[in-house]
Parts: sequence; structure tokens; C-alpha cells
Amino acid sequence: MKFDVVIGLEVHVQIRTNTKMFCGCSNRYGAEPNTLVCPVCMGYPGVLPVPNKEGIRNTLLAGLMCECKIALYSKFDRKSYFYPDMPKNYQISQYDLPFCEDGKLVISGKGLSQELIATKTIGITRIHLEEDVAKSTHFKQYSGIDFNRAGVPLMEVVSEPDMTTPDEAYAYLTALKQIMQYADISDCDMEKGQMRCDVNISVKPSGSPTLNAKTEVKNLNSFKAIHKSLHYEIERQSDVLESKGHLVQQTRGWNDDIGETYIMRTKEDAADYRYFPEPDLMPIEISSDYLEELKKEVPETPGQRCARFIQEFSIPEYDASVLTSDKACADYFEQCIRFGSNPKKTSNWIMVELLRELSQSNKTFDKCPISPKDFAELILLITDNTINGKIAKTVFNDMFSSRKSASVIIDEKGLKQVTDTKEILEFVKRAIENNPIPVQQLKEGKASALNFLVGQVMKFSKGKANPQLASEMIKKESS
Amino acid sequence: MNEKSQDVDIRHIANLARLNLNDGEISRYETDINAILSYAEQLSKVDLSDVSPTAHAASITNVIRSDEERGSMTRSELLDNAPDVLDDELIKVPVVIRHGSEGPA
Amino acid sequence: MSAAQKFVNKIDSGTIHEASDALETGQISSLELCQNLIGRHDDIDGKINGFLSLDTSQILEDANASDARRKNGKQLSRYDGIPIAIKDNLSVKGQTCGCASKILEGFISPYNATVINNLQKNGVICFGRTNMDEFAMGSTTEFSAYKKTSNPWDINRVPGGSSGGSAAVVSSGQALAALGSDTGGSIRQPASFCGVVGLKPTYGRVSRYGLVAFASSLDQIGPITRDVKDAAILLELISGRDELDSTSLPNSDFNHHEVGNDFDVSSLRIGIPKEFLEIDGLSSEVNDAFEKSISVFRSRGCDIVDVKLPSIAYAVSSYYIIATAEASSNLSRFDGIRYGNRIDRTSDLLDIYLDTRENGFGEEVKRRILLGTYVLSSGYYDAYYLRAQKIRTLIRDDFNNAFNNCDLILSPVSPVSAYPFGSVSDPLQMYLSDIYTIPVNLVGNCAISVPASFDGDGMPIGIQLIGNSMDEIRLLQAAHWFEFANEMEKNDEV
Ligand SMILES: [Mg+2]
Ligand SMILES: [Zn+2]
Repeated sequence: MKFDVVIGLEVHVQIRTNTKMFCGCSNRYGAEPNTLVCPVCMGYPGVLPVPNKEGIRNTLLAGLMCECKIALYSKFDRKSYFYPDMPKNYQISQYDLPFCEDGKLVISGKGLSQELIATKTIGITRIHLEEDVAKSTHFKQYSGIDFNRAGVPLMEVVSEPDMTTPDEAYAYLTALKQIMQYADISDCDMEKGQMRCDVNISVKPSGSPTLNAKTEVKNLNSFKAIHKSLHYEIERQSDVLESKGHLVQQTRGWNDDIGETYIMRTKEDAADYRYFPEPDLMPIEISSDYLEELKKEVPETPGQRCARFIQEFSIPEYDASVLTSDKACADYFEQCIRFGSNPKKTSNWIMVELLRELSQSNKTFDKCPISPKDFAELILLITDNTINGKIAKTVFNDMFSSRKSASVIIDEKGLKQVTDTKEILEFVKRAIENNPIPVQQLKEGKASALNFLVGQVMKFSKGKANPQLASEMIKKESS
Repeated sequence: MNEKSQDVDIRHIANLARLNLNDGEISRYETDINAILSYAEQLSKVDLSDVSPTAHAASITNVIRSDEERGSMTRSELLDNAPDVLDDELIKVPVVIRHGSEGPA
Repeated sequence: MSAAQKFVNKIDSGTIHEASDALETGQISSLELCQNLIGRHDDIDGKINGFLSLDTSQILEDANASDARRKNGKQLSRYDGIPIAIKDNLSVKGQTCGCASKILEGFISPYNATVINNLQKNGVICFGRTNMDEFAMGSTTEFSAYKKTSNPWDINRVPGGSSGGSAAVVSSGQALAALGSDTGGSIRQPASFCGVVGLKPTYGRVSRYGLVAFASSLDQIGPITRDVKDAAILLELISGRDELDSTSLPNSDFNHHEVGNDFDVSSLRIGIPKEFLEIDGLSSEVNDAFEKSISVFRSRGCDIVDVKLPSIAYAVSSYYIIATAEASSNLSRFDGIRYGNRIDRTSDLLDIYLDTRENGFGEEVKRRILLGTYVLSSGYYDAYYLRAQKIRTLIRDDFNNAFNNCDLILSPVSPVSAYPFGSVSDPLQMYLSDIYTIPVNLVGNCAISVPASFDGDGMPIGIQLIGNSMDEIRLLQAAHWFEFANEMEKNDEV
């Protein structure tokens, strides 16, 4: 039997603000447990919430980035359920009037499996704003709760069930993460819980018009886990259908250690959240003036930036999409260009050398040991033939570990390319004298012989000779 | 609003509200709440099709604050009120697993 | 007799403004004032049971500090050193804040309610925590988890509720004034039952930050005082826009000097809703008191006009759906996890919730949580909660129309005067008796209960004046005038 797969994602993204959503506590990761709390975010008797302007602004910004319709009239609602990580036993969220609705996100590039996916538009149902819950640490007999995270502004982005493969889901998450980073809304660091994902997935026999009951998989905290859990569910649900079984709506969890989902609850004991308008908060009206102001603040989307890179810097589409897939990388690239370095060469060096070094040393661009200015200088020194490509790699590695600039390293180590023809001529003569057989081969038109002789010159010059110059002179001297 | 108000499932409601009730309480509350709800049946007789709901007594909008820190309380202030504490750091509760429980969505 | 002695002797009828004058002129010190009130408390509160706690050493320390400020000319206001009793649902830093409930046993509040900050900025002293119906749910104060407060006019009768403790301690001379909270009449009805003045300000006039919520869209803090002038003074001290309360209104400062003596009552149009006179259970004595009050206004040249509030018939249904729905949500935070009394028999999380809440909440609170949970639950929201909110719109429109034809509305406060303990046991019957007060909370207007008369047993009966939103000045002026005119009337009769 062949199956069709329908996937929709609910992604929670923490918004980076100075303070929590409804109180004046600092919104900061990594503080000592239970030190960023106050009566309001602890739900003490008598406290009241007051919404953080920046939380709302960032949600609207995310909506605009995803081409959503922005609600001119919106409100907060209470969502009730008892859980120790939720101080009031209700969450301030949004129910029927979310800030943003009906948007879209274009996905392209490669999935986690490295397979290329077709460019596709994924619908965004809604983006609403709510408050995060506390963090529980589970031990054998008990749990400990740290409320620092309780009340942090949290955006929930709900997609349409438009994805059909785990790779598409991966590409969607990548695109969403880019958007959040581009708009400076969130770093989306999943290890820090800044981005969390629930997936909805259902499987049906190919061509069947009716959808089967969906499964929701909760608490997925890496792109890999999401990808794996989707594969697992496709297999599990297909198996049920193959064996003439019946799929029921259920919520499942993901056990990353054994790579399996497990049942949490079925529809029969589905939660009754008793949503109702939050009486402690007044409605939010977005004026058209404010919306116009905000539209001016909407940054370039990754797609727009990619197109601009192709057009403005004449670099290949592949280069542009790699560079713009990470905002910090694209920023780095543009800064290098501003210091005058050649776009294509810069792009090559970033994609081949810098990205590799960063990933090997587990660093991100904000911790990059080479400043854009120094990087641009390195590229300039290559293009003006001060150093050749081979020396440049040594210089680059040195820069990455020592944080020194290229010119300082070149001076210190005397790595300046030899372009003095007299000096090179001596190396060329020596190479010809010492290697009669290759010289003979060269005369017979064997290209590898030339490479060998150039290599000899480079060796004599300790790599500093200009290889083009050396090659021309060898041809001339040996003929 | 209709005949449904006559069969309020107090057990289910008590469970949603996390209230333990004994049989005597169940039947007493069932009687009370059914009486109140049958009185409230009067609302079903009003034509409200063109009426918008009022959620607040005041009609102001956009009450928001700037994103400025106001400070927090100390951890000991928090833990002093807590019934059970772990390592002088966390609030302690019996093991909580999402399994079988309602959770955030 | 010394001047101080003279003031102390009349303490059981003293007011904030008299005490403030006496403090300003040095006739009395704050310490003497507080000591005498504590003495009065020690003498009679064993019978009245108006206070849940009275931290005398803290009060005397605060009084001494106030006296020192005055001595150095550093008093914070005219009211520096004045003691005010506080209902047990208002948060005072370092004090218990129990809402007369077992579930908050042991909880010490780490912060001040905004009203408390406002009082303390003026040097006002928090004078004890007064008894109430648990979480302000009730009309008799019988639902306190700790004690039953007696009506000072007859200790076998209820003081009203839920701010029964506040009304009783003011009425019995144990406090000059008190703060209460009013969600459906919880200030006005006990004030009427105890023969004192009770003001429910416009929703949003006084910050709710630090008031333990019963029903967020209906709750409002207000004063219970011996006279209308004190209500105006206390309103001035506690009102104003608060950035910690999103429902707080702009321009909500109040100045009691605007409630002057030069009020021309003859220009006033008083609306009488005939629906209010057709209420089942309106006692003839309350009706008489009401009629007499109308004649007091009429005899001084007021226009008495008929107004219509046709949707009032649905007010009780609408109110009890909205109030209990909000309450069920507001009270879900009391679970024994982060503060308060946890009951942990089995080391099971669900049992902690169930046992803590079973033992922590009283009968009436559970009843309302159940009702509120039901009306919000899946499948019933539209039939109950949404309809109730639409009725709320109709009632608001009714009041808006009425205030096009009148300045103030006059009505009874409660269909009956204070009754003996235990005489109302049917919840629906108890809810229905709130008919005169709850419409005001649904629309958010201001209203005041002023003593008007007595029933055959000598129990006080108040009347209610209802003002338009933010029209407290006119409301208090008329009430102030009525208080005076009614006194004269009584003297004329003698
Ligand atoms: Mg959510
Ligand atoms: Zn906080």
C-alpha cells in the first residue's frame, strides 16, 4: 500500500525582550533558579498582569514577515488546566482573536536528509501570543520547579497541514527560524528552549479523499528529533493501516533515547481548556497608523535578501542561499563586502573555509575569531596577489587561532608572495636544471610535467612565488 | 441553554476544577446547581442575536507597558512561602509526568 | 475633661475628618487614638468578631512613628497616623492575606496592594484584618472559615457580607473606617445592615492590584465609613490610575474637596426604576424606608423621575454566571504548590490538588467554583457565559438610557434588613437578594449605601444612590446632602 502523509506544525518561539510578558522580571536565560520571579509571574493572590509592548510588537512583526493579516482588534484569553509549571493554573493566551492570521512561508533548499526539496508555499494559520510556563526537572520520586521561565513571552506559530514529508517539515522549521532571527525576535536556540515544536501528522492510503485521525507529538526539542519522530509516526501509522487497524486521535510524546513515540492521551480524555476572555486585560486595537509604522520596520526576509545578493553582488544562487540561510552569516558577508573585498571570492572563502572552521570549533558567527574587516583584508591580499591561495589558507588558519590580522601574520612570517621576476627566474632555472625528464615531458606537451615544475619552484620559494608567473617563466625557459 | 442544565455531571465538573467531593456533596451541589441553572433558563428567552457581549465594565483599550525591568523578589522570599523545597533552589512536587495529564498546547 | 479625653469619649462615633482635625491641632496623638481603638476592640470584639487579626504591637509602633513625624513637622498628610481597618482580601506586605480561607493558611504576602501603598504614603496605619465571607463569596460573613461576625446592632443577626467584618468594626466603634471590596454589593449591603456608609467606586477608579480577585471584571475596592465625608476622603486616598492594573482608568484621581456643602439639590433629577419596586421579597419596612427617602429628596425640590431598567430581571442570572466563571478561574491558582497550605497524603500530584482544594475551600466557594467551571466547560460556553455577557450589554444600555433622563438613581440596597444567623440557607434565595446591588457591578458604575432609617426591631436600613460612570462627585454630594437632610427630618419628627 502507498500512503499520503499530512503534516502540520505548532511551533512555540520565545520572544527576546528585556522583561517577561506580563510583569517586570528580567527575561534572561541561565540565571540561578527561581531568582527571576515576582508576585505577578508567580500568580500570588491579588496580582494583575500588564502586557509588555515589545512582546506584542514582535508578534506583529513576525506576522508581517510571514505575510499574515494583522488583527485590528485583538484580545487575550485564559486557557485553563492544572499543572505545577503554570503558576495560575491558567495560561494567558489568545483564542479566537489572535494577533496574526492567514500567512505563508516559502520553503526550498535541502531537507535534513540532504535531499533537495521542491520550492513550496506552506500556509500559516495563525500566530498568537502567550506566556511561557516554568521549567520542571524530573527526578525519580519528585520534580523540582524553576519559575524563571514562567511568564516569558511566547509566540505560537501554527501552520496549515501543508507538509507531506519530514524533509519539508525540516525546511519549514529552518525557514521559520531564519525569519525569527532576521527580525531579531528570537535566537531560536532549541537547546535553551527558545524554540519548541509539536507536530500533527496523519497518514492515509494514497488517493483516499478522507483524512484519518491525526496524532499530535509533543515536546520535541531538536530539528533532528522532529525529523525522526515524523519518520517513526509515518511508519507506525502506515503499519496500523496495513494491518487493517483503525487510527484514533491521540497525543503522543517522543522518547529520544529509544527513538520512539509513546501514547500520552487519547481524544476521550482530551483537555477541556475552558477558554474565556481574560478579564484582567483590555483588548488591543492596532491602528492603521501603527501598522504602517511597523511595516517600515519589517526587515528584509531571507528570500528577499537572497535575491538581492544575486542581483547586487552577482554571486550564484547557490552561494546566495547558503549565505542568507543564517542571518549572522549574511551580515558577515555584507560587512566584508563593505570593506571592499570581492564578492565571489569572499563568498567562496566563507562557504569553504570559514563555515568549516566555525562548525569544527563549535562556534557561531557572534563568536567568530576573525572580524569581517580582517576577513576582507585577507581576501584583498589574495586578489592583489600579495599572497597566493595556498599561503592564504595557512594565513587564514593562523588568523582563526591567533586572532591576528592577515597583514601582521604575513609580515611576521615573511609570507609575502614573490613577484620579483629575477628572484623567480633563479628558482625556475634551478628547477629546470634539476629535472631534465619532466622538462623533456613538458616539451612533449604533458601538462602534469608543468604542474610538477611549478611545484618545484614553489618549494624552492617556500610557497611564496606567484604560481602564475612561475608557470609562464618555466614554459618560456624550457622551450 | 436547554434541557442540558438538568443533567449537570457534577463529578466531571469537580474533576475539571480539581475538587474532591463525597457522595453527599455531589448530590447536594447537583441540587443547588440545577436550581440555579433552571432559574438562569430565563436567559434563553431573550433574543440576543444582535447583541454583542460585554467582557469588561470599562471600555478602554491598549493598556500596555514599556519593556522595562521592575525587579524581582529574592529566592528566599519565594521559598519561604513554598510548602516544599528542593536543595534550597526549586519548589518540590511529587513526580510530574505529562503522561495521562493535560499539558500545554 | 481634656481635649484628648473629649475626643476619645466620642470615639465610637468619631470620624476620619474629626480625628484628622484633632491630630492636626494636637488634641490627640496617633498613639492615643490607636490605643483607644485597641481598648475598644479588647472590650467588645469578643462579641462582635469583626477582626481576624489585630497586630497591636505593629500598630503602636506605626502610631509612634507617625507621632514622631508630626512632632518634627514631617507628617505625610493630614491623615498621618489615622488607623484604617483592612479587609482580609487586601495584600499588605509582611502580613497574612487569608481571604478568611483555610487554603491560604500560612501565606505571608511579599507585597503591598496599591491601595495600601497609597494609604501608607499618606501615613495611614493598617489597623487589623477584618473578617469576610471566604474569598468574598457570600452576603452574611457566615461563610468565613474562621468565625461568624455579629451585627453590632443585634449580635444574633448577620452583619451582611462579604465585607461584614469591615462594616461591623466601623459600626461598633473599633475602627474609624475600613476598606472593603464590592463584587455584587459586598460593601453596600453590609454597610446598610450595620448602619454605616459604604461606597463602591466606578470600576477602574481604584486599583485592584493586591485585591485577591473574586470576579475580576466586577471587583472594586471601596471605603466603609461613618459618614459620607469620610467616604470621600478615603476615596481620595485610594483612587488614581495605577500602571500595575490594566483595567485602571485614566484621570481617576479624586479630590474630596469637590464634595462641598454648597450643593444645590433642587437641580437634581433622581430616577426611580419601577422594576426595583416590583421585586419579590422586598420587605414593607425596606419599602417604607425607600419611599421616605424619595420624599426627603422631593421635599427639597428634586425632580423625581421614572426610569426604566427592563433587563434588570436578568441581572441575577447574568451576574452569577459571569462572577462564578471568573471566580472558578481566579481560584484555580490555590493548589498548595507554590504557597499556602499543601495537603500531601499520598505523594501524588493529583491528590495534592484534590485534597488541598477539598480541605482548603468552604462550601459556598466550592459551589461557585463548580457553577463557574460548568458554565465555561466545553459545550456550555455559548449557552451560559456568552449569553450572560450579552445580557450585560443590555443592562449597560438600560443604565445609559436611564442616565439620559436622570442624574442619579435611588433604590433600596437589599430587599430586607439584617436577619438572624442561619435564616437564609438556600443559595438561590441568597443570590436573589443581591438584585439591587449587582446591576451596578455589571455595568461598572459607582453607588453608595447611606443610612436612611430603621426597621421595627431597630435594625438599620440604608438606601442606595447609583451614579453614572466616574460621577462620584455628584454621587457623594447628593449622599452628603441626604445624610444631612435625613438627620434633620428625624429631628423634626422628634
Ligand atoms: Mg500554546
Ligand atoms: Zn515576574
